[in-house]
Amino acid sequence: MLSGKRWLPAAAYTIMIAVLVGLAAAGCGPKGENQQAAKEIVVYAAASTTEVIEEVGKVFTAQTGVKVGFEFGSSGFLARKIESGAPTDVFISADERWIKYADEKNLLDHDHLILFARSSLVCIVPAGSQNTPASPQELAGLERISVGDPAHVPAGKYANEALSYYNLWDSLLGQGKIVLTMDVRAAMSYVEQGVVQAGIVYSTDASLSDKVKVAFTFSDESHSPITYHAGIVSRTANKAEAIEFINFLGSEKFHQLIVSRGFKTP
Amino acid sequence: MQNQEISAILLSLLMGVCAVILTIVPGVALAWLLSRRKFPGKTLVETVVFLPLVIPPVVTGYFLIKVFSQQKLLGSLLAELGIRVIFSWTGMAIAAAVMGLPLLVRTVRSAFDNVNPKLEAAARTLGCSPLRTFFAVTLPLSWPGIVAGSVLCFARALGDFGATAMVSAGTEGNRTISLEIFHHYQSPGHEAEVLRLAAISLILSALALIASEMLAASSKTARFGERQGG
Amino acid sequence: MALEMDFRFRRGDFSLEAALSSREKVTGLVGPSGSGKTTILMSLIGILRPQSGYIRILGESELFCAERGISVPIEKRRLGVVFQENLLFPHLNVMDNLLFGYRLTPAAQRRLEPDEIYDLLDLRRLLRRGAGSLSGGEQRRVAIGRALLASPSMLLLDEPLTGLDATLRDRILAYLLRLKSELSIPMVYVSHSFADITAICDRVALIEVEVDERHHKHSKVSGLKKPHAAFADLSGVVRAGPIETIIEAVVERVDKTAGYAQVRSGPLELFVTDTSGSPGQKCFVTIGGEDIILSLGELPRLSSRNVWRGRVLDLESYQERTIVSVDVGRQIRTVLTVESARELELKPGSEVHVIVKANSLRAVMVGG
Repeated sequence: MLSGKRWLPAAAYTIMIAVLVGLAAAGCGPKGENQQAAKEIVVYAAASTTEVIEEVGKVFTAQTGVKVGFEFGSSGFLARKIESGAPTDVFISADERWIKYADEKNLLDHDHLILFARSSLVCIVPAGSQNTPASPQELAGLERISVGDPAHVPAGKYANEALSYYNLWDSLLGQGKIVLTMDVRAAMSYVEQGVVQAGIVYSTDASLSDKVKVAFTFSDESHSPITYHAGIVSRTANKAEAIEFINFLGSEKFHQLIVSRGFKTP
Repeated sequence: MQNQEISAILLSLLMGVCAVILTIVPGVALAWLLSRRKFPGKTLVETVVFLPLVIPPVVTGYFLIKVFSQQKLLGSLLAELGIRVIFSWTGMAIAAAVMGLPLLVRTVRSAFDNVNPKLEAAARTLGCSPLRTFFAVTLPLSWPGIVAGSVLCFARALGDFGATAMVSAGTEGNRTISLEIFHHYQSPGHEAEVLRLAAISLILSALALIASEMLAASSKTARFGERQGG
Repeated sequence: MALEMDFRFRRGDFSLEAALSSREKVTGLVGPSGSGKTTILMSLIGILRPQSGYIRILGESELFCAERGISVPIEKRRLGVVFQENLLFPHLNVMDNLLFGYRLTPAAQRRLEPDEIYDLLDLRRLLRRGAGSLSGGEQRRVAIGRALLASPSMLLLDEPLTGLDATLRDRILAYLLRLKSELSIPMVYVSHSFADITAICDRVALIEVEVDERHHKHSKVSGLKKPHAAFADLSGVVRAGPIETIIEAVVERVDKTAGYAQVRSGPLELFVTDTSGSPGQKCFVTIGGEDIILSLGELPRLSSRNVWRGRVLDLESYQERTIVSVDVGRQIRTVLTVESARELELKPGSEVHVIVKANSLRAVMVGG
């Protein structure tokens, strides 16, 4: 069959493919075995809640001894990951849409959904900008505006709604002035760097950075309510701890925390 | 298939073509320099040219943003001329070109290395100026390599994600196939789009490779075999 | 035309002094491998640039002068080069190779036309072939033709006969001799083989190499001499190789059944065993010096058909042998042992018969 040294390339290929297949197989299947029972929970949370939820995590751990791991991103992307079987215990979304989506797919424990905060939508510009729009209409005079991708970023969806309310979305998009980002913090980062002249983010995001300043706030009627929801992932192996976490999000202590950071209570 | 997917495919193809157009002349010139000349700073030039091959593409994209940002000299100069780089097709084409250039240079340089420099000397003794020698001798003999390098550049530009993602506006009409796939991937319930685009991406790359092989093979036989009535 | 050069070149451990002034039709440069023959050629061509000195072609132009900072670019020097590796362009067919330099030469400067060269070197039936499909001898002829068709003011040949088998060598040499007689282009012939050089060169310069204590190599081109005269200097340079005489002749009669052909070169009639020619065809006949017998006095009956009467012109001693030049209508060199020459009491003016078997003569038919 294969004479002399000719088997060498064939063997090499076989080994390579075996390794690749092995790696792929290792990637499948649940990862849960690494987590020791009842000592750590994983929270998938909307990017705009990064600082708040991290702080909550610290307090939670201090109180209960349970460690908290986080992943922050656009709520839509997180929902998708949960749908794909990502190992997590709690889901926090900046949009009712994605909580509903997950719930409808039976990814969440229906009995433990809560609304725990609200926010408002603002337009920000670089801190040193001379060209500050005072109203949505003045956005038309700018070159580039960063906004989260409405397909999966809640802030983007709200921005879409707000700009459409003022009949600005289509024209701005058509003139190539809209830049879509993969989450709300990326939109803010572009404004900080100055690669765009303005961005639409939450008021709570804006207050975190001294490289940006708020140009104006979008009125509540121009967009659907910005509501933060949390739910327990049905698949969770740490149900009790997850419930404790969710309950904490409804507590008075937590309300003080979020208000101090610019969120509104539900 | 929706319009946005079609526009993503067309945009990817456009970026591939732009990458080749932008890189072919400087790439061939660079390849020739690296192949035929020694000069101070040669190692530095080689490193810079080949860097995008090894550093994470997002880093390349980041550098591009810094270089062309309108707050810096180059960006503002271009803005005066009405050229916007970041968040426009221009920027994406530049990103694609930067990612494809090292592959083109590497392949073409290797082709030039395989052309016996003594043949060029022989042409010079026959009255051929250095420039003419390049077109009459060096280029025809390295043509398969140039074609192969261009196709590699095209394929690389076609498939780029990291650098392109940094300079793309992200809106429909500004997403290449890779960006479109990522957009749909992040949005729950868009499995079908992801699969479709992934398949198309595979097919396009495979076609590019096959075309490159065929072109290289055919130009070789046409040249080195006997020519009838030539 | 005259080639005048006097330059010095140094690179690393190697240094070269090349001084030469020649008005000959074919000038030879002989030296062992590594002596700098290639360096001299490359300096003439313009690929290398000497550190000091000058290179001129009188009647044409100054190619190089270090003092005045002149160095004419390669493509403007109008020097035809036949490289040892031929260096035909693989992507072109034979005709495009041949016409490569021709097409780049302005019409007013063209002194040779394709048809002449095709005929001179028998290239017509090769024209449509791809350069890569040719045999060694064919490639060499195309290389020569290509260099000539650029109408150079001088032809440089780098070891054109080296590496060819005996038959091929004869053939190419025949073509070169034809070039020499029919074209007026002067040639510089570089080789390590003295035999090749003496076959065609009018004058020869030797390249001598010295290696000093620090392993630096220093080469020097010595003066120009007639090939015979250069013999004495040879032992320090290269081996003389076989002593041969090459005679241009015309075929008179061919007798295929008997297996011989009769060719004539002026007053000299030779019988050769090559019957491939036809009457009127030109040929070159090589006579090996070692294949000749000299006879004094009355001749016995001999089997050989080549028996010529002649007069001794000259005797030279060389490497324990004596080389005797005899005029038999053409000048022929024979090689004898020192004793034989002494026993025959040969001296200039001695009347001898030159005898050589038809079988020993190598004939190369040219043309057709």
